[in-house]
Amino acid sequence: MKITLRIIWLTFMGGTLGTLARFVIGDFTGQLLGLVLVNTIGAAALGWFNGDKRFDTPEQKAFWAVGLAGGFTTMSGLASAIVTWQQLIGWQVFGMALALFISGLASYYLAFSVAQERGSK
Amino acid sequence: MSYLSPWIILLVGVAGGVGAVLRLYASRWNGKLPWGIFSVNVAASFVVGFAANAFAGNQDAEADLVLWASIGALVVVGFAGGLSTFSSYAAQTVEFLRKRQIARAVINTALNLLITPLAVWCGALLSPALLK
Repeated sequence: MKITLRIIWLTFMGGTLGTLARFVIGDFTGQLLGLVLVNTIGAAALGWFNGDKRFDTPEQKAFWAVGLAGGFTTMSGLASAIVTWQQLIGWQVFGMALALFISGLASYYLAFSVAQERGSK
Repeated sequence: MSYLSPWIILLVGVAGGVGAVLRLYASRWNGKLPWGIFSVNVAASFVVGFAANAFAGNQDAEADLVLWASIGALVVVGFAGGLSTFSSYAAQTVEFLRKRQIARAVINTALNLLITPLAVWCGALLSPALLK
């Protein structure tokens, strides 16, 4: 993707909205449930955007995929939770984090496959 | 965090937008693994650890509590959250799996799972020394 001013602006707008949505969900649900929700839903959303041909232009990718889905999900929040919870429950926190990683991969793949399937009809 | 003013909440979003633009540039660095996305995830995790430790020691009065909570939300939830991403990790790892590049998928997962918490820990550990 060639980075133009328009692409930067769209990424910024998507990132701003994604971050605000993550902030609101985290505020309502609490840290742990919030992290599970935003990362699983965000991975599924990116799977949909990447699988659906209507989102295949650089502008659509910049806003929806890089900006919105990228800003909605967070790896740093997850890493911070791992460190915090490691002190509370021990090393098994890495098993729980791995389960979240796998559920993120599954939700991405599922949404990607459904979007591709719908596009081919 | 709902006690934060609407302006601060808006600024949290703007900080996330800035992080997303930096991530857009970083995502162009790809080799056998998506090093750009991995790097921003590690950098953002370091920032979170650094900020959490730095701000924790500055909450004496109630006014300070709101101020530092605002700055913390801007840096941690806004900038670092917008800079890092879980969805791109998922997309790239699923792409490796679809291409039967199992080793790359496993290494990408292991790096993100193990190194990002280490970066949080390093940030927290180094913040007192770096803030002196």
